[in-house]
Amino acid sequence: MDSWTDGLSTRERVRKIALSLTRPRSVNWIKTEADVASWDTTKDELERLVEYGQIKRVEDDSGSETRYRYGPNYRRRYLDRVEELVADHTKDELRNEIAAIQEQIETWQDAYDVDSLSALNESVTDTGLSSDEIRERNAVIRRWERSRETKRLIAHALSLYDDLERVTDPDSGPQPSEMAP
Amino acid sequence: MAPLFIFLAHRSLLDQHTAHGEIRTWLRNQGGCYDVRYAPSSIRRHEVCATIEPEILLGRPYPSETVELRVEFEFPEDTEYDQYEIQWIDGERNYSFGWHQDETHLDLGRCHFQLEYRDETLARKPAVFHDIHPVNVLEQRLSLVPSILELVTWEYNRPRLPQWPPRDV
Repeated sequence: MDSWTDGLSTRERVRKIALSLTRPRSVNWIKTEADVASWDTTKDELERLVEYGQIKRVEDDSGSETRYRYGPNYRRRYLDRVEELVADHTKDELRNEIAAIQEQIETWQDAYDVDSLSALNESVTDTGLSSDEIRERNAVIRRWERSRETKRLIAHALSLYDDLERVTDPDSGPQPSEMAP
Repeated sequence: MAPLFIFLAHRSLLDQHTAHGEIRTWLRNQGGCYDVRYAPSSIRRHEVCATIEPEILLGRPYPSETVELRVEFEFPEDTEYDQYEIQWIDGERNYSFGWHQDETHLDLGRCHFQLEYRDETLARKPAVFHDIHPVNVLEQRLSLVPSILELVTWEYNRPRLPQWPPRDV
């Protein structure tokens, strides 16, 4: 098995870890995960990513002196995801995915005899469910939540689709007749 | 146009998307990993699945020609650590094993190992908890597969886990 670090430079490794952080982490944590020897290089690369808006710096007041933790920039990640959906999929694919999500939700509704996610949430406290059944329902709840959020994300991508296409398509720039004299 | 609201709830979805993207990229670069895909779809990335030729990935003989690998990471807002399920599924021999870091079986610690045969869980054992990055978690867990294969014994075509090391797995 190859390690993910093979063939990557020190700074590339820091970037890989930093851009896929799931919560704010210290320079030391990132340095270790990126398999980098130098604290200064790690910190320097993280600061560059902060400057470009790719990650966020948050104050870490757990120690005696002020240090920072570095974490995801969710606003950036959200917009990148919308952009990616538009770039990688046709409108029909996005619409079909919304339909597939809806179908999946209906399957869950039938399987658990509930009409909403909150009803499924409430059903978990029902007495009479085995621990395996509770575990299964909790897993479905999480997937249902993700599916609902994904649907919303796709709806955003569809609402921006034409505008994003227009600004990237060289043929649809302002025509001479539309330009101000 | 609908206004762009960003809800806190989206964070774990975005984290999952990012982590699964990194995992897919890494798996696609491994010898012996084929058909690396998101399930249920490339847009809904609830998990990453791959078909594995174990002899090539592990570099040692293996009784089945292929196995399935299933990886799912989750990042709930209300827990202090990442959760995951990494399962090595040997369909030819009807068994699977893997590491689960979730809210179940906390009596075994924050992470446990699970051995399954057909639809039955044969063993659950405490596993080492590592608060490490998802790709490092996956790399570290897959590197342990050969030692797990040595621990699992077979009796009457049924797997068993007669012993479990106290550390490192």
